[in-house]
Amino acid sequence: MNILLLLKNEALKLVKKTRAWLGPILIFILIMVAFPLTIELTSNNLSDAFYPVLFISILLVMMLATEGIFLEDYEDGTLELFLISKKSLSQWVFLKIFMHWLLIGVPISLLGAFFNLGANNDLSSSLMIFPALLIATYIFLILFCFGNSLSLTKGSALGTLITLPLTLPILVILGKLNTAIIFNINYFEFLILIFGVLSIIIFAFPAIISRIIKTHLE
Amino acid sequence: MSKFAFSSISDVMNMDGHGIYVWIVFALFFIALSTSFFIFNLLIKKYQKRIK
Amino acid sequence: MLREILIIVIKKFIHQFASPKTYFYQVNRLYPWLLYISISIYISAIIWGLFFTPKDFVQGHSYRIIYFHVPASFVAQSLYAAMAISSAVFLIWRVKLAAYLARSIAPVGAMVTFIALVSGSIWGIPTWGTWWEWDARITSTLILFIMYLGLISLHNSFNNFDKADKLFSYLAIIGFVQIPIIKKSVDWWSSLHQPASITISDKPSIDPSMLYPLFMAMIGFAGLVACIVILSSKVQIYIREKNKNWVKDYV
Repeated sequence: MNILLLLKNEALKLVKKTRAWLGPILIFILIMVAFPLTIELTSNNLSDAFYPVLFISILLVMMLATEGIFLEDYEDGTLELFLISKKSLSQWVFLKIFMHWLLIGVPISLLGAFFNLGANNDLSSSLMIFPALLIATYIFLILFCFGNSLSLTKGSALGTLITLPLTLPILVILGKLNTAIIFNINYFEFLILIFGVLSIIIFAFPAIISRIIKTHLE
Repeated sequence: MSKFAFSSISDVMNMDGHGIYVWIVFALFFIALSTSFFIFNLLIKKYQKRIK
Repeated sequence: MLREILIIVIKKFIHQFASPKTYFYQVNRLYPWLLYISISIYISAIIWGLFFTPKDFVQGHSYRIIYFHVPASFVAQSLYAAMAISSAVFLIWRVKLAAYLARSIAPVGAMVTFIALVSGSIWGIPTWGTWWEWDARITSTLILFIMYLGLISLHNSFNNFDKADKLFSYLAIIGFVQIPIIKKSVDWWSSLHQPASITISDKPSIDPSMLYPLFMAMIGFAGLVACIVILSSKVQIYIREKNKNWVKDYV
């Protein structure tokens, strides 16, 4: 019951801040709509360029979505409340990231699959990219949350900058996945690989983030 | 162990046209190592002075 | 009973040795030896490698850059490993000296990674015909370089040294996942970069006459970098312990 209550609280908090969840989605739509304009009309390279732009834009949008994610809770004392009341901080971090993923990551993955339909005219590749996007958005969210927790009081620019190198291996795997989808080979191997990465960090990182937040509160 | 690989000094400098790359890298390493020794010694002196 | 005594003795020993004061004096004694021995090893290795090894059949004389590039990239990764280990030691046992060491390794690691990258690109011009290639190993070494810079900037953005040390240590440990990625990248992804010449498990794919100077260069370079790390850690001790009596006495 406690978990559901926390989840509901987080959802209400996030929904109330419209800019925090609608902003990233709108920016994602804007990038997806705008990037075909930068390619020549006669060129048929649109589908080639689509996946790199898609992956980079979800990376940037996730960076935006986590901007100052713990800052408000730090300022209004929610974090200290957790420290005093001996409630599990890592559980709360996990739920917070999950809520962000549900409200921002899932719509963006759906939109990405939808725009892929427009770029490639191919339903099967859309169905293939959708689970990959779901996993990738979650991984990026977790990593950028880690960065934000590191530079909690110093603005999120520093934190996201220093965790950006950590996301590059994921981007490399996504790039391989792109080839795998185009040639329809080894798709599931790469999907399982990023799922494996997610399954490790999904529980490990909230614990680390909560320790970092405790360091800030000391 | 091994023989001297070059026949003359100009051969050493030239290295069949690859000399420039090898010597640039040599200079880079020499400069990087010596400047880092120099800078850290300078810093140590600076902080020693500040503590005094 | 015996076990408890043993634990107390070990703890005492660790605390004694891990105090910055003891470290400082021991290192001062060790430093000249390490410096002169590693300089002589490195210089003789470079002379041997540059002048007395045979010409490579494929790459010609440009392969001689190996005596600079391989030690540098090896040491760049080892330094990161050392930094992550000392960060872990700091987080687990709260040994202050480990935090000083980790912080002092970061700029040296950045320097070594930078020269490894630059020497690699210069080596790439005659052998691959291009100075930069976005392949896995070069890119991941570049990431390592950015990681070092990020760690330094994270540490510098906090005035509270204790907090900065802790956050630094967390990031250093998390960033350690890249080391196996860099190590294995040449085997996992096909790339222009040649596979490692020396591995623990297999016979080296390089002729012994070229291998011995390479080993010597690695040892000498590692020793020189260790000397720089010692200097850097002395700077850290001066910054952090400037109000301690022993530092004032020493100076």
